[in-house]
Amino acid sequence: MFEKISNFFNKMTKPEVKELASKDAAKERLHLVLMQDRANVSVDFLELMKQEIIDVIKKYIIIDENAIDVRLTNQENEDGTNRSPIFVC
Amino acid sequence: MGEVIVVTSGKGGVGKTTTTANLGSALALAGKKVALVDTDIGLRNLDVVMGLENRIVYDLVDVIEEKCKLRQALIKDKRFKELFLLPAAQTKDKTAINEEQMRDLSNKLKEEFDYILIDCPAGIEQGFKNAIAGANRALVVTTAEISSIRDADRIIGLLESSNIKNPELIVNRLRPSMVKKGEMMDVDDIVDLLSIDLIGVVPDDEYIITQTNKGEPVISNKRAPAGRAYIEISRRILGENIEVTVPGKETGFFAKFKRLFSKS
Repeated sequence: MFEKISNFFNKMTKPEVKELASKDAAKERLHLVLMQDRANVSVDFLELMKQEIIDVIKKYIIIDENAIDVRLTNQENEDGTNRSPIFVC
Repeated sequence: MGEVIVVTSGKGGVGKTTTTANLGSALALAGKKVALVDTDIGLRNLDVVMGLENRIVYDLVDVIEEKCKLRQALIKDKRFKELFLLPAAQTKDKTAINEEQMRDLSNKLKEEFDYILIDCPAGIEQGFKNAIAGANRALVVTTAEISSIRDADRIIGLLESSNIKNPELIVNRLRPSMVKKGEMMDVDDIVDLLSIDLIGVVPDDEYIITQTNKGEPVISNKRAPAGRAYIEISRRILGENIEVTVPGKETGFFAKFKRLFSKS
């Protein structure tokens, strides 16, 4: 009982700092890790490949490098599952 | 012809053996003829979890090396009508058997049993390859932890590139109170990330420890929430089309009533 009351006053006096729920951190980290695992590539490799793709496109078309979005994501398989990695830009 | 189901996870310690023991018991309770096969050679544990460790005479490697008949190595669990255990060898290692031999063994077991549950060792090496060799269905066990989900994803990839299609997911040791606070990934998050079908969710339950201490399956304890979850999964294995109960999200009048009073 006493604990409850003191908890209540604690909450009143120092409002909790709203931090990112740890599950969201886990989700974000897993999303990236799984993508790399599935494609079997490292972050550095991805960056390198991305830059090279942009360079090739730039050779043929005039583009704004910052306006182009190149990323690895998941493609829906024919059977509806969401597994194959795909590079889109 | 029986069905060979491998219980696997990639990561160790997520509950493969407990899952195998309890799903096997639940299927036997439903009147099916069930064989449990421990393929974790060198680190066997299904025997102790089932409380049958004192009755081992022959093991999996003896059967494969033809030192005994299959029937001689199968230990009958007297608590159930038709439940048998084929224990792993403890003094050998994973290379003592190969995939071809496991396939042959599975085919033999299929003739006699309705369900053969294979307890897969952790890892993705020979032991894993042996365990999945003769299987036609796979259950992937994961907890809501990042390391376990990552390994489950690897395993799913390996299963899909083998001959086992559509592995099904068991989320184990879910803690509804943490999920509610946003401190644990919820079942939808995990299913989203792994994108395979969910076959059941087992809550974190202290009865698992107390029942395992006694060598009793948790399904024999009517009060254990995990036991009820395993029975539900066994019904889905049997082909019943029932909705997956997610702990903390139970529907129905009683659950709502309980929730109303448990709000703090």
